[in-house]
Amino acid sequence: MKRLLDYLVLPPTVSAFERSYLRRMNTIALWFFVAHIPFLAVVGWLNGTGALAAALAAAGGVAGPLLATKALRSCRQQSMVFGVTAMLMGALLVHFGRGMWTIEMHFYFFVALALLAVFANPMVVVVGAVTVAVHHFALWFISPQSVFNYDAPLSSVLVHAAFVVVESVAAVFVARSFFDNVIGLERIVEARTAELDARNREMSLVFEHVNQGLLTATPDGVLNTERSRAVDTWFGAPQPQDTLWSFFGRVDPRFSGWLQMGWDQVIDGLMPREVALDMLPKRLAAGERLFDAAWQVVERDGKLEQVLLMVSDVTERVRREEADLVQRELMEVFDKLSRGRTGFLEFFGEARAMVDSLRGEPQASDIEQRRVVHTLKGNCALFGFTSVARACHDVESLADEGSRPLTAEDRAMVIHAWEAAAARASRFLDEQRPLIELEERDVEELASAIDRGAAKPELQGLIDSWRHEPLRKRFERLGEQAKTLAQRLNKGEVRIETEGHDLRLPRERFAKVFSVLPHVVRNAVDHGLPAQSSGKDPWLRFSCVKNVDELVLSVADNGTGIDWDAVAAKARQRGLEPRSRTDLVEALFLDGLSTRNQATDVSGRGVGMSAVREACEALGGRVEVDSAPGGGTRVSLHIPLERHAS
Amino acid sequence: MSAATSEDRRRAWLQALLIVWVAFAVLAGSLIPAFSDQLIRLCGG
Repeated sequence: MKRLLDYLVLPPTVSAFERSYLRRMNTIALWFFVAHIPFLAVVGWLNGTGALAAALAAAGGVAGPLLATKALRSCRQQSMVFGVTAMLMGALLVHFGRGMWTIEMHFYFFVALALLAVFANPMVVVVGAVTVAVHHFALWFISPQSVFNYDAPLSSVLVHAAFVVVESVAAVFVARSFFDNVIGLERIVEARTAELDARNREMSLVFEHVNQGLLTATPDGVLNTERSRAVDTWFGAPQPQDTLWSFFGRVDPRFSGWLQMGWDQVIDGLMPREVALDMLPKRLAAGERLFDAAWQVVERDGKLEQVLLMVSDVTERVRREEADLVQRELMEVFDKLSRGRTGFLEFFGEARAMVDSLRGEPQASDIEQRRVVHTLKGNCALFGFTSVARACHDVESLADEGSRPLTAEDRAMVIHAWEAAAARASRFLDEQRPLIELEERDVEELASAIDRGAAKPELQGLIDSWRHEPLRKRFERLGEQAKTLAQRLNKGEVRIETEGHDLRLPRERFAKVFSVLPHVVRNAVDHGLPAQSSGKDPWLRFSCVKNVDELVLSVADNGTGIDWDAVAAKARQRGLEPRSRTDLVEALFLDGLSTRNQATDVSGRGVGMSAVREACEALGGRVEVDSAPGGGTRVSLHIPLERHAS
Repeated sequence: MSAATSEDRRRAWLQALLIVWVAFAVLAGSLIPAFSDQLIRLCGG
């Protein structure tokens, strides 16, 4: 019963939409029934039942709803009055239309009951049905000729009533469905809108306060209006129809240019989206601030709909990382310096000279400049100046990728990195104060020379040699370099052997040779030493042997040996036709020739060996390479003796 | 306040009148035929 009542009686809340709808329907209904006044007058006149009486009675029927508009505030209640009016008009029609059409006039009730469903209120139908039921029963008793044009029994009234009930049930169902699905829909939409508004407010709250720049763009790159506040704070508000590149072009033209170039690849879908996205720029600079840019696509059914950009301010993190790097570099530099001041100062002077050669208009050819950069990279890595080594590597990579010579910008990058690193290291250096590092054995050697009555020139030569670093320290540094590289390249623990390490060679003559030795070591570790998985214990041997008329500096390994077939293939690619081992060794020294297809930060650019030969030949020497498959490699620098020390 | 009271009173009267009308329309309206004959006569039918 309660469910029936809940079905018949609408929920109390009246939405604005329902109110407006009922106002309109009530007005239409009122005019509809006003139109009944002349209509009933005509019916009364035609049937001889009194036109004026019919008109007056119809006017009395209209008085109710008119009164209701003034007396009732509720639109729903006003509608219910029409339920009474409709049936009253039906009763008048049957009465004034009595005669041969009496029964036909009853159709009006069914039409009117159905029409009452437009009020979307079951109670209007119920009111109408109750009214017509009361009329029929009462009239049947009081004035049966007003209802039936024959001597109808009670069963006739009941049949009429049954039809009214059936139609009323249907009309109630229609009215309620109308309310639930049309009038109520508006209510559902209102609730959903309110919910969406709430969510929008929550989203706005997130967008206002999130510490990340979030913005989306259409596949054309045009920015959508929704974005987090951080975007405006960091980069300013976008203009209408701004694209990603026009917007960021005002902040970081390099980022914008790169983005515009990579955008087509994201859109055309020729390469996997992840790959194309990975090629978009990831670092953005706005003034002093640095930002990370992360890209994501929003797809629907495999079709690109939006591109989402998430920007994070990483300035502090990057500065911290840079400061950490600087700190680590300083510690390493200090460590190298404390292990051998003379050698370090030698390196420092040589590196400075190399950097100076890169300043101003280049006097040297591009390949010579590349050798300088490559050698600087190797030596800086050896002495802990990792930031300079990294700058050199980046410059080499940029030039290689663009297949172009080194530019003034590239050189400036190296110079800048060196100046910064040198300025930081200068606090440890005291180049102005000439110091000589001596070990106990040096003093013992001098004492023994004096004991055996050595001649003055010999003693002088011995003392002069103290100005130069003993080879042992150089070999130690090269050994450390080899061990570090070997660990990085998964070649295991390398054993270092040295020979002739007590020699001290004059820096003035051998500076260039010393500076290119790291190239030989890197090649030996990267190309030569066997992989850890081979089970072979890797070793490297540095030796310096003084013969009658020459000095032989060599680096040997027990690795796999040079892949001469690969060297031959690479040489042929360069248009050469190597016919002998000598030709192949020659090919090793060609600028840009490497058996590697891809250069790494260790080797593979084909610059190192040519620099080695150039340094050696500058002293009138030569380079020999001995290598056999599986038998290791030995690179020997033969330098004629002139003024070398003891 | 007094305006609202006067409005309420007017509305209450109108509502009472409406109830009479509804009662007439539902119940007494059933007697229309009886009244209508009188009406017809009054109207000179």
